[in-house]
Amino acid sequence: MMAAQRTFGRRRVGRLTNVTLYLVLVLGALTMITPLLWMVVTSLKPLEDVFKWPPLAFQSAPVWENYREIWRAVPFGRYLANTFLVSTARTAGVLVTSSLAGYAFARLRFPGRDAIFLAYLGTIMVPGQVTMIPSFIVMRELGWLDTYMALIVPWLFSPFGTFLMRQYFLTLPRSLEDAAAIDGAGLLTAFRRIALPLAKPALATLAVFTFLTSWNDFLWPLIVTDSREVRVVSVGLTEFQDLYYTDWPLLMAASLVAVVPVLVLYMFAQRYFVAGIATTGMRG
Amino acid sequence: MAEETVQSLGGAAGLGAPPTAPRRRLGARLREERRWALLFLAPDMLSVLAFTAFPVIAAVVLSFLDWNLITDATFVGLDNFREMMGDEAFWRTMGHTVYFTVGTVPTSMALALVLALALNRPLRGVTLLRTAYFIPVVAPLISVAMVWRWLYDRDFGLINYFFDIVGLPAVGWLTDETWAMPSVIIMSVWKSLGYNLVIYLAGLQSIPRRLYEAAEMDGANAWRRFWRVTFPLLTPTTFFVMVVSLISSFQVFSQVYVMTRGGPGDATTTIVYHIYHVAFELFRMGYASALAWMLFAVVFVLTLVQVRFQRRWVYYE
Amino acid sequence: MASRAQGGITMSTVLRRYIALFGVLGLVLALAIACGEEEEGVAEPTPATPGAAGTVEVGPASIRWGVWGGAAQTKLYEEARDAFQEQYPQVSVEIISAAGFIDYIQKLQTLAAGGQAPDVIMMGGEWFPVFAEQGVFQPLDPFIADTPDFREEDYVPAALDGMRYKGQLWGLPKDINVNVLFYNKDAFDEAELDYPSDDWTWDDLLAAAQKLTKRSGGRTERYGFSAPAPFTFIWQNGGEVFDRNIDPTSVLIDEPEAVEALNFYFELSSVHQVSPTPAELQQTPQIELFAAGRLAMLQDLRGATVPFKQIRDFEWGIAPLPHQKERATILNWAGWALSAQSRDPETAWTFLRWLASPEGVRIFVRGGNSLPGLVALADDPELDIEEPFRESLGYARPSFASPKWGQMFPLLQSQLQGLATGDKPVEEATREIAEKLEAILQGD
Repeated sequence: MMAAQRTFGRRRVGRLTNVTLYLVLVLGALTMITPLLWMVVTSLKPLEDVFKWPPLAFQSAPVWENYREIWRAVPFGRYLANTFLVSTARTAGVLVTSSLAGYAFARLRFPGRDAIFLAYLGTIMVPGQVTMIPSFIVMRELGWLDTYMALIVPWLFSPFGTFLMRQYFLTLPRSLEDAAAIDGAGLLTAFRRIALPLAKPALATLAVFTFLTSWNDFLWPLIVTDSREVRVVSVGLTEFQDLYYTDWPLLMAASLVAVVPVLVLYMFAQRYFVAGIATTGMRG
Repeated sequence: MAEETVQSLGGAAGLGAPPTAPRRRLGARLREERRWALLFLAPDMLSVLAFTAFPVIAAVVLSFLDWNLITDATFVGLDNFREMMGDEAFWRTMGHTVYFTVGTVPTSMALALVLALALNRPLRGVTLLRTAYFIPVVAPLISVAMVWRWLYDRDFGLINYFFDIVGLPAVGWLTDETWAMPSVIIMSVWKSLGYNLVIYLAGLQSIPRRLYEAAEMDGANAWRRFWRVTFPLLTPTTFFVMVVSLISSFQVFSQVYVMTRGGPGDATTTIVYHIYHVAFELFRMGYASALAWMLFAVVFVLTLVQVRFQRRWVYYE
Repeated sequence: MASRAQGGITMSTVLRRYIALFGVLGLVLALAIACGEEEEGVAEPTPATPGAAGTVEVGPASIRWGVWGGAAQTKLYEEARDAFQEQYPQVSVEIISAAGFIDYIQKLQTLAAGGQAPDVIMMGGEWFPVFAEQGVFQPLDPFIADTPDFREEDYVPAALDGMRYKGQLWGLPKDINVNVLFYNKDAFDEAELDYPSDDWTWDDLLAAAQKLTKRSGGRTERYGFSAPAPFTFIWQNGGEVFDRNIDPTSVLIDEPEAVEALNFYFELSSVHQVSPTPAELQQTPQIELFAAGRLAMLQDLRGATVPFKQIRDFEWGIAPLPHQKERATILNWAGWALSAQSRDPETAWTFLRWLASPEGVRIFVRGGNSLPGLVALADDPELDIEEPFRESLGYARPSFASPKWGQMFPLLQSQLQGLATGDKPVEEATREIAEKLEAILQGD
């Protein structure tokens, strides 16, 4: 019995339905990105035109200069570099800690496992406002204030990430690992060679999310960093607000530039979401 | 027949031994698992202990104190908790938060699932489409909020512009107490749809193709295939999305902070915004901690309930 | 083993990738930290040079300076820091900033809670008693006593008095601001109206606003007038909000003159519809409405001139506020405070004083954002202060300052918004507000 290479639904669903579906999806996508279009238009306007009517049109010639100005007004390049460094580090850390711990919670049996997991999950239910100051004090004691350490090290782990990996590992059929066990493979091998490769979609998801959360993280960097040398993009964007008004065109231009790295990461990671490694191998 | 190994389990994954392993191997295996568990958990747990334990414990202690952040704290025992029970603002903001949750979670989950199903196929330009749906997630809130404020503007917003064309009266989306929360809800669903979409997409990958083929061969139509194959096998993912969405929607803060500052009046003041107000505008860190722990209790119980109910509907293999 | 069949990428590849990734990151991290520490290190203070004329004897020191503002403001702060360090090369100043005021407050609170508050702290006028009460600031009187050439009369009295609390002085003025009337000259020409003058009363204001408001369909294309708060109107009508503006003890906002003024103010949006409602203003600030030509007149600070100077579509002018029974406008100010946690208060005081001196003040006021807190500089040719501002200084009343401002401010904001919707008669609503404010003032 050969595995059919058809895509789900193509044979049964008529062409008309396909086209309608497509249209709906495109319409939906447009709704999603209309605010972004507005951001693009605003980023090319002079300040006084921003609140004129109609908003999605230009009342005067586009100000391309804005995109050069953002690099001059603030050390935007530095901010981007900092954020990239911090986000990559955090993501790498979370991928490692969460896949290991997630596997342990999903597959390994040990006393108190479920209770520990629940307690661990509980830590994300405490609102950040009240843990912020004690956490700040910890940073102070460690001497990490205003350094990359404070931005990275406390975030090398993630209860969400562990939860995600655990759930994903639970969906994988045990049969493969059991087969490996019968073959005499140790636990570490089962983890490395079977579970982890199969969990690529979850790992890709986790990577994108962690990177994104880190990229847009605002409050923590605001309170643990002061100098511009370690400032991140999210805090840097607020610098386009001034005492009496906000420089909307520059803010929009900077925001759009800031969006690019994450989008690139997402587009790259996408193929892992649909890597199609849906298991076959029930033989052996 | 589609190989549906339905093993209803409690809050954990399979506790059964591999069916063919002899007793001796079972014992050795268990010991091996315990040893490895320590190693696997170490990086995660040590980090938690180092960076979460102290702040959490400090927050517990704080809830029994009265502290204005600078001068010495005074011990007040259970006073904070007693005050909370009679605090009208607390109950009201809790209510607003529930309103917000009920509005965003089911909507976002359903939409994300539908979209994931639609986008899980090699359509032309599907990468672009998936990226488009993810863009709201990526865009910085500070700029996105501004755009939405314009969209919602009573005199010049795009939404009222369309209303005008269709003949409906203009609505003060963010300035009218009735409409403020729904407006924040809509914006939140828009912003977070991409998250759930991605998780569902990933979840769909874990469903073996052969199950669909087998079902097709048995003559099941698209709807049947969804209900018999897709949905059941997506339940671990759905469970995850639900738990996580509920936790984060109960803690909603940034959207309110950036769009409405809790207004008009306190129509959009959620519990975490109230906590922020108490801590940083009223300088009552102790009381804020007590409020935070109350929120924690609510969310924890809610999660516990979901975990217990898992048995009934989540299929793990 | 089945693993190799899993689509090409195998076990050791995945693991190797992790190790490689971590390794590279570790290297990058190490490099970044090494470089970061070099750059972010505060410049080594040089040994004291024999005091140049006018400089105080100060040893090598390093102090931290808390400020708020965006990119444009940061340039001013850096200019000030450089100018100060030139005069006092043995002192190095580190700038701690946050862009938005509310973010700044939160950061300051967190820093202070962790014992890390900056030595010299910028603060908005209304908040001085709050932070004085909380213990974040320390009074300046001991330092003033030790400084022989300090003269209180140098500073604008309203601003200085605003920073007095419990008989002590807690700050020196950074700069001040008053509210004046900005107007769109082209809009006035179009409606064939005379520009606002010194004699304008409320009736003139309303009449002009009505002529200048343009509506089409259900939408308002241009509003006639906008003011951010009703307090100036209350004073102009002879009423009061509190018994006194600085450290009030009782509420007078429900007295007839005040209620009458509030009525006038809120009817501008609810009845005459020449003004956007407070809620709408929160969504789109009036400065932006004016710049886009959607507002013909507004009451605002000198800071508005900065974005307005970028307007090319129309001409605009400045006039003093209209009056009713009295002339009144509101005086806002920002000041410099000394942290109670400062490890080097002497040097911090030197810096603070410098900031409030003509040299420092010039840097902040030169750009046209605000007015000097020094009496002598009001007529300074370099600062080129427009006539309506100088005139208004004569009858400007300080904004409110109270240790309970943290509670009063959000209450005032939300309650006054409620007045605009008009579900309750103004008298009743005002009485409720007064009661709530009284409760806050009398409480703990």
